[in-house]
Amino acid sequence: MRKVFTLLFAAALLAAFASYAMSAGDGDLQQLMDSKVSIPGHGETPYSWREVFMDITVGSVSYALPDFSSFALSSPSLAKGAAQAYFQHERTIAYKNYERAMESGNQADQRYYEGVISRMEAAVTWVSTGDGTELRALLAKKDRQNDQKEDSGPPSTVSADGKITATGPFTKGVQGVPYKDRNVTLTMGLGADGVPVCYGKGYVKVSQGGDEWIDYFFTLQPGKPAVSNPLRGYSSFPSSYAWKGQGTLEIRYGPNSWKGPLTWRATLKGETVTGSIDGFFNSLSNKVPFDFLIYSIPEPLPFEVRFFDPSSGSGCLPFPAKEGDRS
Amino acid sequence: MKRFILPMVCVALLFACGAALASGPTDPVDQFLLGQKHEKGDGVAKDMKKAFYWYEKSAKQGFAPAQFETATYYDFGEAGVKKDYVTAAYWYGEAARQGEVNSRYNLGGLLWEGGYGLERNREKAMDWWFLASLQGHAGAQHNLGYAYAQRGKQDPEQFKKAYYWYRRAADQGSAKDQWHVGVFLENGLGVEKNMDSAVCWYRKAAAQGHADAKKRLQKLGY
Repeated sequence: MRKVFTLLFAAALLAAFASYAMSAGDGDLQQLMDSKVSIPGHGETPYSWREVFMDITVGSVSYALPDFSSFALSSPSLAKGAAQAYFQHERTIAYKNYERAMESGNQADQRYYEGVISRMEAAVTWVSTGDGTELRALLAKKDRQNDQKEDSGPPSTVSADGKITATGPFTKGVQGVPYKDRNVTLTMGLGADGVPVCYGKGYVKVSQGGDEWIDYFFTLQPGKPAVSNPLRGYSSFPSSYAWKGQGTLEIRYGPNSWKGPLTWRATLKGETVTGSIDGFFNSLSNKVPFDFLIYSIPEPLPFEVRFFDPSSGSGCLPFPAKEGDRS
Repeated sequence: MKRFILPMVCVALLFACGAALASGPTDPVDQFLLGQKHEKGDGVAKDMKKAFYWYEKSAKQGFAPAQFETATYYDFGEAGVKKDYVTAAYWYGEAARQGEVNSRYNLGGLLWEGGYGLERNREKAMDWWFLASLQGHAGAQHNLGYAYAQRGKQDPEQFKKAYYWYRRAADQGSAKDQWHVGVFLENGLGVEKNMDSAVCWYRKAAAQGHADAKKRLQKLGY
């Protein structure tokens, strides 16, 4: 009996150890750590490959990135294997974290990992094809975006005509499906009779690997009140309300597109609107030529959006006052 | 005649002991497992010296887990083994090159600090932590975060790298790294300033009993 346990233990140890040793590209990466790279503008001092990888990952490259074979002159084939393993590995991790951020509705995290994913994808292209155009553009674009962000103040989503825009993510995805974007935007306001109105749009972008994408466009037509007194009018926007409505889903894949109806519902409470979109699966599942187009998004598709208004701490939106509450 | 008897008995005993040890397993995995048994007192008398003996025997045959264990004896100076960072680094290195993640982590630590005959080499230390980090070692990710944070004092761009690795460790549930991520987010170090996210990470760390995170939350009025 003891021998059996010993064998099991040894097998477990060897299996665990094998998983270390067999991790893709680990050997190349390890070897590459011992070699250095000469980078433009860094003088004669050899630069660490680890730093090259990190610079690209966090978007902090301050030197030129020519085509990969010119960059990795000293050890092109070793560097190619190692770099490919690194960028692909980090891209996988970033996708996982992006999915997590989507699930938790953390937009700052989503933006952060979107940046990492874009750079990792561009870096994979750089290493595999040698073409660094996209990577260079991304690294340069990032700097410009940062500059712009510093100049602009906090966003206000309240427009002059008394409408407010709330934005946020679809909070659920399909496990293992890499989403590039998953956003919802709702516009709310008071109709002529003071009845709260809500309409909006949604967008999901799914990566199919390489340059292939599936785009899902959701149009949420103005909804009807889903409250006990749907005719009640308000002089200022209420802090809680609910709607349900219809709309359209358009799927675009390559040069083709398919359209189908959907239904949606949303509930406003304080500064948050939660809701979901459904009814699209059955209407589209037999129309689209590939099942994965419809299986890449879940039904129902829940969302959570928030408005941001620095001037209001009340939870009520600062719409222009009307003539009293007509309830 | 009598005066020769005692030394002869001693020599015989030594041979007997040697033969007993030599009659043990020859396979490196079996040798490693026997070392483990001696270390834990599992079915045999607990004996760290014998554990070290079998670990080292297995290590010399190239078995990475045994190389790691052998290195730890030199690293911490256990079981009568003299503390020797050079030999420890040698055995960690042998295992690390085979992909043994804890050896990569510990080797990084030895090279970062240096001492006991080993020359400090922080670049090389970071390389080993980098490799261990890619294997998901939260301790290595933390150390890499720390190393880049130190550099950030001279070059703020390095904070981006520090945040990246602290964040990776924090995502694995490490309270001290969750605290660091909170600090970076609160102060906009290497990442866009975001108070809501900072508080969220402080809360995660505090929930695990992190004292500084608790204090910070109190000070911020949460």
